[in-house]
Amino acid sequence: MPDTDSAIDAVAGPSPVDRAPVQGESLWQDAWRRLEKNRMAMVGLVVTIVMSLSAVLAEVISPFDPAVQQRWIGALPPWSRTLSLRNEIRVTKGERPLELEVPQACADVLGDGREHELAFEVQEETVSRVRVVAAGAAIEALHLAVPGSIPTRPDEIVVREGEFFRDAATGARFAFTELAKGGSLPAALGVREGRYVVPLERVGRDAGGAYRVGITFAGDGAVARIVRGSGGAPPDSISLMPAEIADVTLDGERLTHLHILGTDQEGRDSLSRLIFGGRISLLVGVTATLVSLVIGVLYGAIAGYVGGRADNVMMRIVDILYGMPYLFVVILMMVAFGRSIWILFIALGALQWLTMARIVRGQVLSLREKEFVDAAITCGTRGAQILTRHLIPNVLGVVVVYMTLTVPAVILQESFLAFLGLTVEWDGRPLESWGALVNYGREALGGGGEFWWLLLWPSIAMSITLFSLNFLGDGLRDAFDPQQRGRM
Amino acid sequence: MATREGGRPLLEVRDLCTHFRTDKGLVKAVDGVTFELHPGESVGIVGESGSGKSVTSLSVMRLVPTPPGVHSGQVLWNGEDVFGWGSGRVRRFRGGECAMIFQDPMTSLNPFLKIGLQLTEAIALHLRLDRRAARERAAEMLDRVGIPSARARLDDYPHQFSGGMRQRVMVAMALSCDPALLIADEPTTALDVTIQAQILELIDEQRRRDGTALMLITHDLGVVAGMCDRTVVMYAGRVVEEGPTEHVFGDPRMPYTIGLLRCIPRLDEGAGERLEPIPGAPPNPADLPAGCPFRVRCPYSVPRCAAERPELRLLTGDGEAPRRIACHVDVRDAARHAVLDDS
Amino acid sequence: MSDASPTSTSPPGAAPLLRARDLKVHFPIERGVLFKRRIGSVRAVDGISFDVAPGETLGLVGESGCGKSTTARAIIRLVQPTAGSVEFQGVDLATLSSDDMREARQDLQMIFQDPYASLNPRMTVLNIVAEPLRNFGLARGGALLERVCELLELVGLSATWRNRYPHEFSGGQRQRIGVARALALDPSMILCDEPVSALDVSVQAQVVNLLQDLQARLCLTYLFIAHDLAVVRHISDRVAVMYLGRIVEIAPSAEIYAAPRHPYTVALLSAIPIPDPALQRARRRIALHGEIPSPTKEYAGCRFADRCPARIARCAVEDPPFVEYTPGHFAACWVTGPDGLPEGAMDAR
Repeated sequence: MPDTDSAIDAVAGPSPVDRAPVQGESLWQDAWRRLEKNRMAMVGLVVTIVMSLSAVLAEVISPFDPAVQQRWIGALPPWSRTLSLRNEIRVTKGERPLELEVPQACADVLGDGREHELAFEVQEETVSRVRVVAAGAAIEALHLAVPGSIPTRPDEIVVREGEFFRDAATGARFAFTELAKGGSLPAALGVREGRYVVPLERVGRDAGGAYRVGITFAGDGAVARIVRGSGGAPPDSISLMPAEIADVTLDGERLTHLHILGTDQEGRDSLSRLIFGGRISLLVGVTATLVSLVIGVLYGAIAGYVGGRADNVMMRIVDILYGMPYLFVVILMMVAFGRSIWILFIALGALQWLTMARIVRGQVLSLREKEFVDAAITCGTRGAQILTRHLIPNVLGVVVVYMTLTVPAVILQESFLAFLGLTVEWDGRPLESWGALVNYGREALGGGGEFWWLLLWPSIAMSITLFSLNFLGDGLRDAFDPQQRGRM
Repeated sequence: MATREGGRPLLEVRDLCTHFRTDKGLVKAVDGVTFELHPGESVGIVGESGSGKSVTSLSVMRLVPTPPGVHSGQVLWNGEDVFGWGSGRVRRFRGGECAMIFQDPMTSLNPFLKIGLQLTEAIALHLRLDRRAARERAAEMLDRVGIPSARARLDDYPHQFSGGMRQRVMVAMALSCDPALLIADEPTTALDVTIQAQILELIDEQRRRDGTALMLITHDLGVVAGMCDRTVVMYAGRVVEEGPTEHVFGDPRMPYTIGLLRCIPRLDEGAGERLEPIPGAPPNPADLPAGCPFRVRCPYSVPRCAAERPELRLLTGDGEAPRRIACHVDVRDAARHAVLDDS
Repeated sequence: MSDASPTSTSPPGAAPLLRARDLKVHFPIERGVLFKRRIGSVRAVDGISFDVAPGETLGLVGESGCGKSTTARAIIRLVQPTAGSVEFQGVDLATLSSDDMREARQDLQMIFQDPYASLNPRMTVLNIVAEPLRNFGLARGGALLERVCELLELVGLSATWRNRYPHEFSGGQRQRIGVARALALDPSMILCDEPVSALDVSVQAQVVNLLQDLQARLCLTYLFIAHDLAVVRHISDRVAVMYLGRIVEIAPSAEIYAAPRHPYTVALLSAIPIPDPALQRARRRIALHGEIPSPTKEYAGCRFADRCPARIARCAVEDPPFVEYTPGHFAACWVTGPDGLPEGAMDAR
């Protein structure tokens, strides 16, 4: 170290500018070095990054569309396989089926120049006849005739899971609905003029034998031949409901999907729902935190820097807002402005900024007394620059720590709201966060605990995320702790 | 003072090392300290920040938490090894046989308890007095340290005293159990000079009255000059010079001591003379250089200084009182050579 | 105001660079939650006057709470003076608008006490030293870099350290960075607020010497504030002793130790330990009783009267005037006379 009293005279040789500067280590780098040594915090950081990535890339990594219902599957335990069916199978000889009309695996190989055979095991159906007397779209009367019994005139006919209706004349099908006197005619049947009778069949799949349907596709992907194992001439077109189908093979190989974490009662894939639920939870957590960050840091920094009466008034406002029951406010906002996700962001963010503002204000208040701020004033730095160059960079460490601890707090609050049934919507569809999934799982658990996985997965996902964020936040706090910063 | 020669020392510190394991590596706060202290004697330990003077005193009091601290060497109290004691013996030692005054009295006084209670607690414990007698003793002690209307002030809280008065309370508390040794760790650094003079005088007067030995830790050479029989100079966790105060100040032999005495402006010298600073800064105790830690700042250093750590050696001759330095170079010879080289 | 004739506190024959007249800084003491009421004031600086001549160093010494730092902060307007004037190069700083004050600070800079707190820990040395240059648009790009490097070398730091952060330097080196920043605008005067108090003894001398070298080289004027009278006397041409918001004595450095005129100065000098065992043990210390009273009190007479061993009846009722006894040696005391304090005046009564 050239620390001598005669250093002034020692300036000689090449211009000091030309010598390569030694790179310093900023406090951020210093903090990172400390954080790296904290194993729990690093695990937290990695888990947080993985969770965030999975939320961002939900569409890519999620195996299924979390919204598609397959009621005929029902709730399956983890590691179950289901048939690769999402829709009704509908093919016509000589035509290329639309992608959604055949299983996904099938759509991928059709038209590759080779012949393929798609084969279905179809469960023989039991059919009961239904007659619907309608005027316009409204149903006037219902008649139900079960084979070998006297027809009855019920007020409503309910279709159970695995059952569907079929229009005896057109073959149009619809499922999972009910026909009720005074109700409206299902859209699948079309609306006719005047008073008319629709002959329907109610098709169940519980009883009866099985037969095979084979569909051969030509090299160009068009349907070449349809063979129906129950006999009769090969039909030109065929339509099968997923509920009828017991097994599917493509070129002799079974087409199945693996539901790693099982499915829920609507037949939705649990893993996919978990991934998309995580997206909602993290989005709410991060966005609300960012809202609180912007408002809180600005408000707190201004109050602390301006000080005096303005600070006094601003902080009393914060005190008053603190006193408000936040749940009540959030519910009120959601009732008044609708269940938009924006309302949730604003409501939760508007709640969190209070603490942030207090923390930042306290920090700024103490930093403002530091000599480097005086030094900045004496060397001509203007007020706004003092705030942005000297004060805010020095509170960021604390802010980062508090942010990391706010995200889990917000996630927890959102899930609490979701647990109360206050889920948010987007484009009219409910957005189901982990909190909502937990709520769903809790309901599904019922008394017997038969669908335990529906509660377990979102609970675990949420716990891991909250733990990780808290460990990370604690680690960051230790890393930024000025008391550990060596002054030796 | 007369007990310096002969007789068993009250406190003997032998090759004491106190190291700390930190995430920055092993910090050698105290790295081989040896000195002794006789009954009734006053010893000043002088050093800059990071020289290990405070950690030495905390180690003697067994106040260094282990871990992260690691001790080696010996601290002998009347011949008994302090590090071998059980917690009960240590508690009797602290406050009873050896009392301590810290720099900031506010941190050593509990702000929620009345002064009287804090004083009587220790007195009752160590002197085995009942509450009334202990309170009597506490009032007497406050009176001795010059606190007006002492009895009434027993019921005051620490914040009701000014800085100087609080330090007086600390002195009263430290001396209340008739300790054989009083350790004062920078007792006046937080105080203004006029108050400092009051407190130092008080400590000196009171400890002389009871024949208490004093270990005064400070960075202020002037304070040591006025109060201590012997002076121990510490640098980078080691004792670099030790001897009777008048010799250490009048004829320093270790280059660091010489530099320290030359670099401070003195009231008794003419103004306007240029100071002779020691170049550089004290080393980082987490990263001590090999050999003599002072060599990079030392004008007398020779190649041997980098290779070999100088051990504390007895300076012989002149028939003066024993003194020790840790230096390979005989400064007086070196100075003569320097003069020859110049000419 | 009783210190009536301060016009000649500068050394004879020089037009002062800085001229403070009856400077007062009072801080209000407020009570109340939302609406504050003023219930009193802290008289941190209570009517002081002094001159600083170009190229000289005026030392300002006193114990904590005497108002010495507040004086510097009021001169450079980090706090607003309550009353009085501070003329710097003929302009009254106390009444300047904040924009004009910003311009004026180009010629008047400050070095701070705490080398740890006076540098923004998030900025590199380069940015710290460059900040004043950027603020006034004095240099950009390569010229800026060159100027910063020149400044760093000037204060004895290697320019290769410019990209390092303050926490990577020792206390003495940080204080050098602070000096480089103060020099960046090429000021004619620097206020040094306890620049060496926080440093280790072996490092203090380095900074003191640096300040002296810079003064000689750059023709700087210093107001040097410290509580250590030995350091102040060493670096200063003249020394002003403050007590409780007032200057009680101003004297040339050599005289302040040899012939102090104010009882407080005498007591202060006697309390400073000297690192010479024989001398220190032989010295007579003047024990001052009690501690510095609260600066919220109003005084009719001398502020030091309560603690003064030499006080007479007049001291408590009448404020002593600031009188020049020998050329350049002023004191505010009723007891001291043309020949200094009377024999035995400081003995305890």
